[in-house]
Amino acid sequence: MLQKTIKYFLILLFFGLLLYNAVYFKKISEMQVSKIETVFDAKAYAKTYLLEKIPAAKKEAVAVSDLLSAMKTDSKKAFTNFSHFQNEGDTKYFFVKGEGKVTAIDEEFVTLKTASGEEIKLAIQYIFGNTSRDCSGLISIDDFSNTMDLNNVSEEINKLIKAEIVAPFKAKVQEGNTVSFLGGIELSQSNPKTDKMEIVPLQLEINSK
Amino acid sequence: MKKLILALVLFASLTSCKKSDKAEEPKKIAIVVSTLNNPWFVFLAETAAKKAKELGYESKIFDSQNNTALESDHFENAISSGYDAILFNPTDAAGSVANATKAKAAGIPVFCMDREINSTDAATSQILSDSYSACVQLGKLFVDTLGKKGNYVELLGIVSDNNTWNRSKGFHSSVDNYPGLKMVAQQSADFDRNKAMEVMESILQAHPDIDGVFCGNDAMAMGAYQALVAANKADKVKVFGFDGAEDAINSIKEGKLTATAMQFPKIIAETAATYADEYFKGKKDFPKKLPIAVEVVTKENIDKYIAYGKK
Repeated sequence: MLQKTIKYFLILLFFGLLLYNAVYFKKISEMQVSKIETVFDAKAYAKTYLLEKIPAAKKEAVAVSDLLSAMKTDSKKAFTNFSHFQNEGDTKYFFVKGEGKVTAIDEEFVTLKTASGEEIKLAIQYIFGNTSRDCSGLISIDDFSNTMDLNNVSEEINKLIKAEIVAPFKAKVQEGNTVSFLGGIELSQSNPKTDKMEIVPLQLEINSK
Repeated sequence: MKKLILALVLFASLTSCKKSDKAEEPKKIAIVVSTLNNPWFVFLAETAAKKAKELGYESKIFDSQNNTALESDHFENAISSGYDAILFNPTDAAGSVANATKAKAAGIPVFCMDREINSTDAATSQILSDSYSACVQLGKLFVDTLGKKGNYVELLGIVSDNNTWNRSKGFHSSVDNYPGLKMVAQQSADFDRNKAMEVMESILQAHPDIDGVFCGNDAMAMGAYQALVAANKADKVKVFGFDGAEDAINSIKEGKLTATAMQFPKIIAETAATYADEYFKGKKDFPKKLPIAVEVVTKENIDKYIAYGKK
């Protein structure tokens, strides 16, 4: 009798183990091979970034005069201390702030002279690329399900800069004005041409005439 | 009764033997590549296999022939054959998510190479070329080369691949700022040289007066250039590619193609194999997406480069 009980127990255990490994239950939602992605709103994301996050991060920006000075002293160190980037390539971005007097206005640039004597150019015509997105270090590729969304953010930020930052500025700015700005700069690490650098404006303010 | 116990003990010992054998075998890495009909992907796959071997692993290359269904079969095979990791160059950003998800469910890490899938959790990590940024730079060069005016053609890659659109959008983010540059045709040639030649021949019949061609990869640039040679327009029309493939690098040296963007497949493939090695050794925290920089190559800086990389 005891032998029979052991026999049935072992048979039951054997088939039980087989069954346990052969069948499993999961929610259908977990088995969906691709998630239903909600449509990413790059425009709204860009608006929050440019009009809320950038002004709030003003204290993180390096003064453009300090950056230029650091570049002259030790450009490698300046890149290490101040640059932001999404990839390990040669191009790096800087989040800068500053103030200067308008000395020239043309189709592409407004030229400012800072109190310490540097001449800097604010781009007002061609705003493109990733400078506006990557300069602040506030946006990470890991926040996006695909790189197309990330790149669409660049495009939307640039559109907003043209429409909401540059257009009203262009309409008002005159030579002699004092302008303060927050902006982004793109520089090549292997060949940083600071004399030719352009600042992509992220925030512009005309302080006085 | 004794026989039954003996059978069960035998079954249990056989199962445990299988497990310990598996633990002693070298780990196996499957390299699933979108196509081996393009030398760039051949280089990517072979470099990944070479690196895997250097790290002490067995590997096998699977060619998906740009077919998501075939890619799916390769994943089934890799899972059932006991591969321990998959280095993956997907055929379709959306369609390939299912395959990576299947592997993940089977406990097999997936490391994407060059092309991405539209998911941040199906793959353990995705090592990708930063195509958009490179094409912003290529676009600037295109504008300067054409003197900010002229008619041009764009040949797109596979329309379901994110790289196709990242390249196109990066290029347009620069070029579309210049109203003097007019795109007279934009067509897909599926990243394929022969198809690009056919498409370009047909476009040239409708638009004989063009100044530039922007192609989403070098294979298409070479195909477009062949069509321009046949139409006696190769000297006038500037052709731009993307990849840094061997024939494109040689063509730039010879003054045929104007420029390409150098991706670094060696870095991508070796990073993917190294990540797999680190995963096996216990590391689990990888960047979800790792963009690798791409550099613009022209006749002026060609001396710094060889096919698929830097000298």
